[in-house]
Amino acid sequence: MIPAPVADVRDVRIAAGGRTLVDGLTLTVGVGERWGVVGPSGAGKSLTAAAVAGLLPPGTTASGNVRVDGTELVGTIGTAVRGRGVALVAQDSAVALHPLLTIGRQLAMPLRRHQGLDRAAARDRVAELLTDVDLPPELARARPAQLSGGQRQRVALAGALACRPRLLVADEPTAALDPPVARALLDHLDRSLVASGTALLMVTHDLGVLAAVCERVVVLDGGRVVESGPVAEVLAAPEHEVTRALVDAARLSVPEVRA
Amino acid sequence: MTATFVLDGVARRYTVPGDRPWRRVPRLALDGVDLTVPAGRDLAIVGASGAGKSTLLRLLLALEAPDAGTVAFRGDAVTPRAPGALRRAVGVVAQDPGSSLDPRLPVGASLREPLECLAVPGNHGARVAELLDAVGLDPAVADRRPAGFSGGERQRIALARALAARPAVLVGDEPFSAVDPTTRRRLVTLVGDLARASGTQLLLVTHDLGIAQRLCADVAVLDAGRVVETGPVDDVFARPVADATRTLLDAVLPVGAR
Repeated sequence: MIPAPVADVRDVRIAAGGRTLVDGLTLTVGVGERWGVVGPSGAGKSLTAAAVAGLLPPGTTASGNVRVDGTELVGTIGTAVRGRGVALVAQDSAVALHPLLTIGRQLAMPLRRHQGLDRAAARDRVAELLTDVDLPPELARARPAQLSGGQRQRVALAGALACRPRLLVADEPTAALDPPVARALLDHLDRSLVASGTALLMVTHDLGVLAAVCERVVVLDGGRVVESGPVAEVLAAPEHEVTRALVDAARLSVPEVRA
Repeated sequence: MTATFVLDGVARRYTVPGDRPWRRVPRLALDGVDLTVPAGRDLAIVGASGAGKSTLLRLLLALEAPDAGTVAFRGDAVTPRAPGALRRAVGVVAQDPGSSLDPRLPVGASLREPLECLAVPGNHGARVAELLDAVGLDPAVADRRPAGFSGGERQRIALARALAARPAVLVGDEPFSAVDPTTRRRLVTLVGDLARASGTQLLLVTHDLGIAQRLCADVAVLDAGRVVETGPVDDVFARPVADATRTLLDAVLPVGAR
């Protein structure tokens, strides 16, 4: 028997203020699969991620079906699948993390809420989670402002994967990081996904990030899928002009090294 | 020929958040920087976050004074209280055009400001139209406020504003990092073309080694508040000497097959 997909998105249309922002999106994320969502600004990437995470912003209306871990999210507020089913890493964890709570308290929250751990068990698990992303367990006593952007984003990643969700939705997780720090975060992401058997849906502007982490990609433009397929094939031979423009633009950031 | 900028033993200390929300601890952002920027050589300043790039720019622009050492522009020491010829000679493009343009002013008025502040001779209205045209925007948009433009268009306007008074040096603080890659590519081409056409020297702080190489002849690599490597971009990228340079080069993610 083929296992049910982690996320099954069928003919989704998202509108706000009378404008259609995502139009007829269909996408299936299998168990442990890694999908990237790319496209120019305004293509509908972040809305797609929000829909799959059950976090569509107020003022948007959605139709179609978004089934995540077997639960229909269209028309609900999505809390049913968060934690075990789907977790989210946003672009800017300086905003996502509470500025006044210690890292330890924040990481313990999902563990206590979704996994019912008691205080001591949660504390032990927090130390483990921090170690998993190469942060010292003592960091549990620190507050977000004391951490670098890369450390904060690793904390956010650790928190998102704390309950071993079946799907991680990541919206530009490295966009606020400089390249060496971004690269280190992607290594952590890669290892954590393998360790917890979690699938990935990642929005990114950066085709280098896409190629480093994802197996498959959907290219969006104007709210529609214009191309999709294995990352290596799409990048090597882009068919749609939007994809070609993205590939050309991405090469700008790769220096030519002549020995 | 006098160098555009000479930094001699420049140090700068800040305070950063400490172990309690209300506590702050000192940190050395620049730790004895010596750097010469020769006239006419476009320079990219690269380095990891926290290396001191933005601090270095604020000191070069005489927005802050160093705690130790001196900053000279064309042979004259500059400080925030006595910037000398610096303000007139340098145009700046910041990272985020959303916050660098006054949201209340029509963009035409924003472009006119530097012309008026620096008492640039000539017809200011005509110069504004010329600038908008040069950055690929219809001069008729001068009446609109920044909110009516996309991020890429706003960055074009910020570029036009930086070039308004025909500066000898154009300074960019990550001017391309807040826009999407397709827009970025067009902006990079535009900056290169405009700088070349007007003979403006570029001084560019960037994370992006590819852009550094395309726009600038020289590169200075900053790490932990020190300049650890300088030289022609192609040489430095082909034969990096400093560990920090190697780390930056290793972090470049290739874009699939070529």
